[in-house]
Amino acid sequence: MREIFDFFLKRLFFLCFIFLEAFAFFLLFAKNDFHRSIYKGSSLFIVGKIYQIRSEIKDYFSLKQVNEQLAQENASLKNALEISKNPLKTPEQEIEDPVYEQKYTYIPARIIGNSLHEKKNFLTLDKGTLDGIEPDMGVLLPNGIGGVIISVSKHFSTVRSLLNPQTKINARLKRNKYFGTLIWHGQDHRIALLEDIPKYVSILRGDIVETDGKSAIFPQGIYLGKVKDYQLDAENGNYKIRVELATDFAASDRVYVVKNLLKKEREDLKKETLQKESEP
Amino acid sequence: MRSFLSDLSFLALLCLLQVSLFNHIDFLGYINPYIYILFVLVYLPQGNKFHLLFLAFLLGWSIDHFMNTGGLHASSLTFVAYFRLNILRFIAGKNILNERDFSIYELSFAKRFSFVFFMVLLHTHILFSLEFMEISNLKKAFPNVLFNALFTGFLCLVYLSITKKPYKG
Repeated sequence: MREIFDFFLKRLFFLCFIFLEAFAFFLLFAKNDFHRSIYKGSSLFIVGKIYQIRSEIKDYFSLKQVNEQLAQENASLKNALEISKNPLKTPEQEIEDPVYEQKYTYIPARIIGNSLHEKKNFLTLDKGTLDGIEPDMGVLLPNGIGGVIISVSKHFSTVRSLLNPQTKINARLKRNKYFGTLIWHGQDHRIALLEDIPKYVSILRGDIVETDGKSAIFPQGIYLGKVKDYQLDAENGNYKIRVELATDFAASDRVYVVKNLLKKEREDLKKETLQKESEP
Repeated sequence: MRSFLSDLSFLALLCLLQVSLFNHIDFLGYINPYIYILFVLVYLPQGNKFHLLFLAFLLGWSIDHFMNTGGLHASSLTFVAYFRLNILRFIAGKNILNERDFSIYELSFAKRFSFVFFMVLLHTHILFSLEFMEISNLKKAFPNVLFNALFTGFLCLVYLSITKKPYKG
């Protein structure tokens, strides 16, 4: 015991120095936005690199599955091309969405980190600010919605997955266009709840649920899933609808990040209106 | 106790001068000398090293407060305060610290010159490395570091030649 005490006593000057330096660094990173961003960026960079290596190994063993998925996707893209008559431009393709007249750009990316069985799930993508990705962009999987980008570094980005109770998607019933909010409640990764559909709406099992274009994140009309069953919520008189999700998170690793070219204009207009309203 | 109080008043004076005067020099547009390093330079080598370490941190921190730089100056000044004796021994010889009443005023000009510039260069280098963080930015900042250190070192040498009486730490 005495030896340990002596050991520290001998190095007291050095320990004081380390303590003061650590405190100074803490102040530096806590107060300074620039330094904080560097710390955050580098930690995301390291985590991203580890995920990338892991996924590269995993990729090799799932090549067959990927090929099938790509073929499927190619088919659906070709279908889309016939309608829009748009020549292919890679890697970013501007599409005038032919059915609903919205303008979106799709940036292809790969999932290099994916959690499925947590209470809050996140994805990590291999594209970042250098590829034009920004926070609050939507992420599409080949067969549905993946989530929303929450933070971005130069080469990587983190997505709050649809399988995260904080993710709320504007969704509607395709048959009668009534809209509500699609939320995942943390149990089964194949089932989510569609809430806020009023009780006078007629619902059938198997009704198709798709995205509603009211938020600027996703294009409208993307297939989300089918109504599995429903019940009336006695508290607020709205339906609680269980939706069987089309997105298969366990089997996908290619995604498209959606950039809404008109988002800024739309938000500016909203801001301007709110400002005018608040003025006397 | 008395020497501690005089240390504190010297510290306050340096902090005041740095913040009110030397931060606004803008020599050649961007060079501001960091003369507060004088506190570490003239502190008596026989003085209490713990005092010096804490006071250096305090001085750096106060300047950080005024300049809103978090812990930038605190970190760099504490660093040079810690390595001060090692550098002094390296430049002036191992036995120099055993002499009573030794202070850097008694060094020959060449040794004093190298000690001051070594310390100032180290301090400025750490300061700018922390400020710019990334290597690519640091390359751009290199002339800045050099000119800043030269200017600061020059002012420190002027101070040392004007004040003949050793500062009692």
